[in-house]
Order: sequence, then C-alpha cells, then structure tokens
Amino acid sequence: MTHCMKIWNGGKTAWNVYRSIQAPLTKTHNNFCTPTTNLHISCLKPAQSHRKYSTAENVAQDAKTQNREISALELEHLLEQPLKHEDFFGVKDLVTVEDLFKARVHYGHKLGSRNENMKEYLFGCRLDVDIFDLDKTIVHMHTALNFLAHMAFREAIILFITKNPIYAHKVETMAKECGQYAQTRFWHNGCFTNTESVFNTFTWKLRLPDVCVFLSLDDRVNSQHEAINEAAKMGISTVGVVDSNVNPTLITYPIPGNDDSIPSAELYCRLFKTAILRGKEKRAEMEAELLKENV
Amino acid sequence: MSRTCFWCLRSRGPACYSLAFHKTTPYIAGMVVQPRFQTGEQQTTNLHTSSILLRGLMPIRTDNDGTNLMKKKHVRYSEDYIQEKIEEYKLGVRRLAVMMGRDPKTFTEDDVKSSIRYLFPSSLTSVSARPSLDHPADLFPREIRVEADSHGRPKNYLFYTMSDLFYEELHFIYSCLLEAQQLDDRNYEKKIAPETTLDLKGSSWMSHDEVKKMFHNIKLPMYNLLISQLSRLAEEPYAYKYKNLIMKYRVVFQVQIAAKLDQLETKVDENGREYSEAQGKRKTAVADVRVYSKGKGRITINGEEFDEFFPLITDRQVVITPFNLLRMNLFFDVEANVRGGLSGIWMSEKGSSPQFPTNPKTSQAGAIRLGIARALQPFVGATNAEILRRAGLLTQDPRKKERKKPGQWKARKKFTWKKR
Repeated sequence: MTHCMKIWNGGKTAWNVYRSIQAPLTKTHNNFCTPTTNLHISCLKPAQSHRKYSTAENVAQDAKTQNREISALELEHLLEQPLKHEDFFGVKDLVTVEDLFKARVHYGHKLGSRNENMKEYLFGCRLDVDIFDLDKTIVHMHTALNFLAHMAFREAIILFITKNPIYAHKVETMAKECGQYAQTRFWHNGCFTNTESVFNTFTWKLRLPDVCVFLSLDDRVNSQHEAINEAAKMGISTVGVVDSNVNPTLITYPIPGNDDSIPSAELYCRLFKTAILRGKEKRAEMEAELLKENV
Repeated sequence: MSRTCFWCLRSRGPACYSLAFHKTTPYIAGMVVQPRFQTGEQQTTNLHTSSILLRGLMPIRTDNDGTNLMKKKHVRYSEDYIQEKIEEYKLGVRRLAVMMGRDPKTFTEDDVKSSIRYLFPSSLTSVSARPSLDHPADLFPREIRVEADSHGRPKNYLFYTMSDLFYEELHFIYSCLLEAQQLDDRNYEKKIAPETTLDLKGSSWMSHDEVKKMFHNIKLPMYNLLISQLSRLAEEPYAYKYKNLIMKYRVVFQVQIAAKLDQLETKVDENGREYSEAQGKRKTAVADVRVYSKGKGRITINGEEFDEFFPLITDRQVVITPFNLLRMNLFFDVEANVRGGLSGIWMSEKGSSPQFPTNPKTSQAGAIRLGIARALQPFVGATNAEILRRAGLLTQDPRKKERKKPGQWKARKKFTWKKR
C-alpha cells in the first residue's frame, strides 16, 4: 500500500495544471483558451497547501464554499489518520464468501484457456471448468476495497475500465454515481504514455488517473487491454478482476474471480461504489470536524 | 503572362536567384507559400532576400519569416501567437479582396481559395505544397476543451474516452433502450398495448458529415455505432416515448409533387352531370375520354359496353389501372370514343373462341388509359395525381412502329446470312 501512496504523492506538483474554456464549439474557430484563464505551469508559485493552486478563480470559488483553508500541516495529519488503522473504512463488512458464491464469482474459464499464473488462486477444476478458491478471493477483495477507499479518501481519480459490452453500461452508470471516471470504449494507444500527442495538450498538463480499476482484463480480441501496460509504465496503481484465462502479473491489487457473468459484475460495481463513497464521506466528515475545531 | 518564376518554377520559391521576379510579386499577410512547417513565435520581418545573399548559394528551406524550418518539429503554440496569426489572416483576406476588386465583407473562403489560385498558379502535384491562405485554426493543431476543477479533475466522467459528449449521448440512448424494454415487459404481462407507434416515414438518418457538426471528430465506426443504436431503439414498441431523441438525428425530407395539373377544368353535361374531358394517344390510336364525377363504375366505349369492346382481359386491366391505383373503381363513369390503332387488321376471328379471344386492341386500351388518367386530375387532387405520375400513367408512351428498311424483311429481321 505504501509504495502506491508514494507514487501518487510523487505527482503532486506535476499534474495539477489545467485549462478551462468557456466558449462553445462554434464555427468561428474560437476554440482556444482566452488569456485571462492562463494557468501555465510557469505562473504557479509553490502553494501553501498541497491541494489548492491559488488563482483569482479558485480563490473566488473557495471563498463561496468555506471561510478558511486547511493548512498543509493539518492536511498531512488528516491524511495520516486512516493509515494507522487496519480497516479504517469498515470494508470487511461489505462482502462475505457467501455473497461471492451467490454472485457466481467462483466460476472460471475452461481448463484449456487457463493461464499458469492463476494456478495459485484456483481451488480446482470441475468438469473442465476452473473453480476459484473464494477464501483467497475474499482476502484479495478486502485488500482491494480497502485500497480504493483510502484512495477515494485522498481524492484520487479512479478510472474504471472494461471492454465487456454486457456490463459496460452498468460500469459507466456506477462511475458517474460515485463521481469517478469510466473508459469502456475504444482505447487510443498512448492515452497515458503519450498524452501530449493523443490529447493535444502541448501548452498544459493533463492529470492522469491515480487508480485504474479493471472489471475485465481482456480486450475481446484474445489479448490484454492496452491500458494495463500503460498504467504500469506510468506508475498508476491498478485494481483488477482477474479471470482464469488472463495474466495477473501487472495488476497491483488483483481480485481473482469471474469477469464474465452479470451477477458478479453487479456485485463488483456495488462493492467498488460503496467503498469509494465511504472514503469520500469520511474525508468530508473529517475536514468539517477540523474546520469546526479551529473556528 | 504567367506568374511562375523561370528559375524556381514556383510562385514564390525560397532559394531562388531570380530576385527581380520575386521582389515584384505581392506578399499577402499570413500567406504561406512553402510546404507548411510548424514555426515558433517569430517576428514577421522580410529577411527573405537578405538571407539568401548572406548564406551564399546554399539553399536553406525557410519560411517567409526567415526561420529555419528544418530545426523545429514539435513546437507549442501559445495563445498570443495564435491570436496574432488570426489577426494577420483577417487583414490578409481584406487586402486580397481589395486586390481582386471585391467587397471584403462578401469575400468568402471559396473566393479566397480561387483568388490565390489565380494570383499564384502552381504546377505542384502535392496540394499541401501549393500556395494557400488558410485560417490559423486549420493550420495549427486544435487543443481540446477541458473543463476541470481546481484539483485537475475533469468535469465529464467520460473524459478519458477522448469523445466525452458523444459517448455520453450513446450512454443515454442505451439507457432509453433499456427503459423501453422494461416498459414493454411490464405492460406485456399486464396485457396493455402501446398507445401509438413511431412513424419514421418521410425522414432518413443524418449523414456522417452532419453528425460531425454536432460532435467534433466523429469517425465512421463511431457514426455507424450511433446509427445502429438509434435504429435498435426505434424498433422497440415503446420507441414513441423517445421520439425527440430519435428525430434529433433524422433529416426530414419533403415530398416533391412534380405533377403538372393541366386538367383543372370540369364541365357540366346537358343532364347536369359534372365531367372532365381529356385526350389520350397510343401508337396510332386516339381516344377522347369523358370521366363523370359521380358514377357507379360504368365504362362505355364507342357506345359499346366495356366487356364487349375489350374481349381480352389484359386490355381491360390496362384501362382500369388508374382506378385500381387510387382504389376509386366505383366512383366514376367513363365515356370514351376511340379511333385508329391497328385493331382493324385483327378483326378476323380465325382461331378465336369465347374463352380465348384473339383480337387484341391494346393500343386503343392504352390511349383510353392515358385519357382517363388525365381526366381524373381535377377530381382526385394533387397527391393522388402525384401517385399517377409516379406510376407513369400520365406520360404518353412515345413508341411507334419502327419503319421497314431496305435489304431486310422487317424493321429488324434480316435476310439469312450466308458465309459464302
């Protein structure tokens, strides 16, 4: 867990630059940023607090919401609190082995398509179908949900990725509901590794996701999803549901289980969403407490 | 007088020794003559001629600004630079219009292109290498609009798909499809039928180019996906609830009525019956037809009954065709006088029987049909007249008997061909 935190915190000065454009998409070619909202990296001063970059806009925005900012010291203390507990967000109560069984998470693919790296997660093989060991799955599940809750607490960008059209719509809906992001469509190579070229961001920097959650690792074309490699290259932590026919080696927090049936996908969506919302709520709660104390 | 330089064979070549020619050619602000390379922020000074003299005879590819184009490849464009270029472009267009003797306000992009082609004719095969005066938005890579909050989080949850608005729309369409299916399942169990149906007649799906205007940078597979999703939604029995969504991507076309209603007058008989008169021709047959408006479906030809005059069933079918199409068989009476046609030759009843009569009067039938179709127009209305026109009933068949040629038996039949 800690190594992932380091990777995430390591990017604090690099990614928080953006441009916001007001003009709509019209034929008058007015699709460029106006000079008034210039936030080029050279204009930024080292901020007092880690999370906010002070510009005229942001100060005006924040003045509406709260009277004072949280100082850097307070924020550090706040972020350390959850790390002291084993299960700060109570993630272990969310799911049991029985829930996994009912959602058909233990079904893998056929013996012939088994990936050797998945052997340790399998209970056995019945009638040519690989069966997952749910006792192992539950441990991985708890770890992954805990990680997600912590990341949501730290206001990370979580990107849900899948290429399976059966539950792609559900994933998108779920991502929207918990305020995160989804990518269930065509993947443009270089999204993470070549942002300047792919997103056309030569004069500003794009903030990449901090966590990639894969509900299925395969690409529907008998190959791995490109995003797994790209996330690994860019130091983005990955959570992934690994089925018996995929390679789990590049996933930071694998969850061995079924990725093809609808009940299991619904279960995963529900669990991820709950964990993330818990993390967010806790954050809001603790910030509000801090502000109350000091006022 | 041609406008190409003798030495460099171009309208305005860079490393050209013919300074005399190039000095006199007009320089239009913002115009790029060389193959376009990306340049950084530079002052627009005309170092062109002096740079050649200084560097001697070595040709270096330079822009009009004098920068070395081979040096920089991936350059970032700042806002100010782009704004400058836009101003230059606008100025250039105005000057060009004045040069061509036109009003700058009514000078369109196409006019710009054609006048550049006129002033700087180019024999280069590569279109991108020819002289052009383009808007900077087309030249410089367009940055995407990103709406993000102070933490750098993009506002749209589908941002990382690269086409967030488009995929949001697809997501919405799929949600509507699921809703429609659920509604159908529920109501089917309760045995409730849908209230209306969605009628897509008179409209067609938007084309790829039209959808591109709505969403930026939509490629063909994405467009196909959109249309297939919408078609799938339109198939649902409860699709009428999502009519607005579906019609948003449909183009309505108006039915064009091209029928000329030349018969608009109706006359009144001695007995007070309203009728309309028209003439019809086919081959050599000429028919004068009267169609009475309020009738029972009686047809009288040359004083004879319809069945007796046309013993052949095909002839009868031909005559009734206009009524069949409009399904108005029993609303009109027809009185026709027909003469001509070659039916006289076939009057002999050799080999004919009541069951299989062999005296066809097809040309006369065709003439009567045309007459009926023309005479029906005032009674029947514009849309029905359009139906008749589209069926080809208002057009006179121009075919005549082809003449016999010498050296042949008939019009086409030739004498036996002998090799020797």
